[in-house]
Amino acid sequence: MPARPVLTEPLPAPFDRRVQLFTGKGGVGKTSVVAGLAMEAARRGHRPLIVELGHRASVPGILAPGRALEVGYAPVEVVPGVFAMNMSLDDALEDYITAQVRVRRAARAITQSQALRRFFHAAPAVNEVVTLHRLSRLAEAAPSARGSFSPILVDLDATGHALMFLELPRVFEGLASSGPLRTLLDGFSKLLRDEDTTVLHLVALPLELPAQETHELYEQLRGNTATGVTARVPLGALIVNAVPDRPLTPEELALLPELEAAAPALRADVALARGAQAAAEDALRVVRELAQRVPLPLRRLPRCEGALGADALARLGARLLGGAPVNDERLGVSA
Amino acid sequence: MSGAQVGLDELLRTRRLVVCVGPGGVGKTTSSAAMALRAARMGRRALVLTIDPAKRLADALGLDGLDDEVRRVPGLDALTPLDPGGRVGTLDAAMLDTKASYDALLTRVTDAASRERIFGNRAYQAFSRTMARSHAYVAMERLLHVVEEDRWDLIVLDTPPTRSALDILDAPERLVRFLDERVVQWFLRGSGEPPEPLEGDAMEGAAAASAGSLGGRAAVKLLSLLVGAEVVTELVSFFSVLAHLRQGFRDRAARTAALLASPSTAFVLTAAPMPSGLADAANLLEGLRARRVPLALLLFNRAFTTEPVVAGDAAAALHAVRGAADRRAADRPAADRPAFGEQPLAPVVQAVPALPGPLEALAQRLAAVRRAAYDANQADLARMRAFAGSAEGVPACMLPRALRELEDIRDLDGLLARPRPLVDGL
Repeated sequence: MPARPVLTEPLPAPFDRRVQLFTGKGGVGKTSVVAGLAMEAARRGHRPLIVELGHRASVPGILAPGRALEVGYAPVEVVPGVFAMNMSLDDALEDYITAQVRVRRAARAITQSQALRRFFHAAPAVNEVVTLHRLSRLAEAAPSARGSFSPILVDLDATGHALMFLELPRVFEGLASSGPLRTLLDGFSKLLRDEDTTVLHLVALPLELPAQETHELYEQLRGNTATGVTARVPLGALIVNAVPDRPLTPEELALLPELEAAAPALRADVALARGAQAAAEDALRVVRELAQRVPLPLRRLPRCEGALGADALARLGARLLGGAPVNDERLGVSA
Repeated sequence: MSGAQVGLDELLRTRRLVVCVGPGGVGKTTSSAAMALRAARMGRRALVLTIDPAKRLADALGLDGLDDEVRRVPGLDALTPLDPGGRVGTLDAAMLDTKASYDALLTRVTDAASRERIFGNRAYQAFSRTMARSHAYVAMERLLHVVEEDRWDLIVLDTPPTRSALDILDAPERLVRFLDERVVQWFLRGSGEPPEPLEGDAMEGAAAASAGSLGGRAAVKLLSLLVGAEVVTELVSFFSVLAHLRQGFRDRAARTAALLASPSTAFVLTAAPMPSGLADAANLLEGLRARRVPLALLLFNRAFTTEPVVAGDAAAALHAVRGAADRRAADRPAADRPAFGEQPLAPVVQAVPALPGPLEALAQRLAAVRRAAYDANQADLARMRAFAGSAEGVPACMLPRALRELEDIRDLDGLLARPRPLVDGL
């Protein structure tokens, strides 16, 4: 393992928090954003950990394609300096039980009992609770402690699941007013509210439906809707992924009628380029409207054509953290 | 009519249930609604059950909103029947609202006294609203209920994105296993008195006992230790009502399993050619295979840029392009709305003629734009072909990229009008 640089270059706000949660509609590229950010954090001398909650880790597939790398419950160094783990119910459960009975041997006896294991797999909320326990533990370790991670980048499932997760403390309110579960939930609530430690980023695409859903999610997180969450998690950036570039400059656009007249054979090409331009303008309009409705620092990421990989994601991460947040003028349609 | 069209239409004409699975963000909900609409145009009585639809889809369907209640989609009589001399059927839509569905389920299967006990139970209130797995369970209960109501010729079920789609298939069986668990039984038998906290050696004793023969009281104590006595008390009360209903749950789980395995049910996997989406779709494919669920069709959505239609309305050309959405589509009469482009995009149209300086540079620029679109098409096609190859003989087709926003059901209707077989190329 390469030696860690003595000096680390800080990450700009709002990407400077220890625990960073990412959510967005399925298919918006959350995993790519998280992987890119981890690459850039590692380049700056941090020790990032990507936490996935799904059935199977997808980070190794995009960061180290072609390498048959199994990422499980224990953090694995996927590429130099970037660690990843995938929550597994059985392991997280064993951790949780160990914390309660304080004897790993006894905890193992419980999790290895077929009957109890099936019970825990089928019982509601067990998965969520033990996941939360593991996350809390990762965040509790002092950032400077040996083997600890920072930042901890959590790829939450699609929006619905993320909301449920954030709502866990409330769900158990009144149901567990004391005891180990209460302690855990109180700790998690505190972590969620802690502006110095935690931040939730929203990831979107410049398309109508995902943008609409991002706005709805924002309102829910702000508690502005009937079904809004009560947990006030600090919000970070609005990251819009795969924003296309305008194919033509305004000057080129103005010349199109002249070209069409001079070379009728090129009408199809002209039409195609106009369409591509319209599509790009449309995407930029969606971004602009979304940015007005979701007043968070905005980061735009380019559309990545072709295969992903460590290099492409490193560029994505550098771009994410590189410039100042994009302001409205730069998004405006050129006259 | 292409083979792909026949494959899709055959399903919509003959099956009673189409289950749409796929990763998030591929237009699964939209294509589910489009399938149900197309079946209605075949004269069938169709229902689409969606999960969490965007408001825009409800708008496109001409509904104020979608909730647990089944609603009739208006305006179908304005559509033409798909078959000459045929008629247009009906289209209904409903959204799965977990809490409402749970309440409705319990109202169906319990007596008033049990119901009151359950509704007042804090564990029920917490879990029915919020937990991912209870969503999966109630989705299947709702499905079984509408199938058995026998009011529809075809039901199209939209499912949550990949990671939870398999949960849906497993949910009924899992609940039955759960209620059958010895642990739950111990729980109920062991709950005669309030659980006491365990200390010191007793903890380890309880833990060790669990590996072998755990008594009811010890199980309750163990769980009290892990989650707190209060939660356990509520759970015991919740389980004791559910346990009485066990036979009913078991019967319905068996009927659900039979429904999903029936030859009149088809599974359709919707995917988009983005690399991340296809990785998720591959996981899903594997999961379906492991459960021995045969896949009837692969549907690739948002797939390609077509050749612009320059002969007709110039505006139509704009719609042939990847991702273009025309905000003004709704303002024009339906007949004037642009058609989807049908011609595959050529890599080069014309050699760039000799032109005055700036025009020639522009022509080169346009050729580069075309080339980029063509390359993106080819990359998508290669990914789709590789994926279809891994699906071993499942027929595959692709839909033109949704070229405009869904403004009303006509747009939805256009979506499935021209699927193309993958082998056609782009």
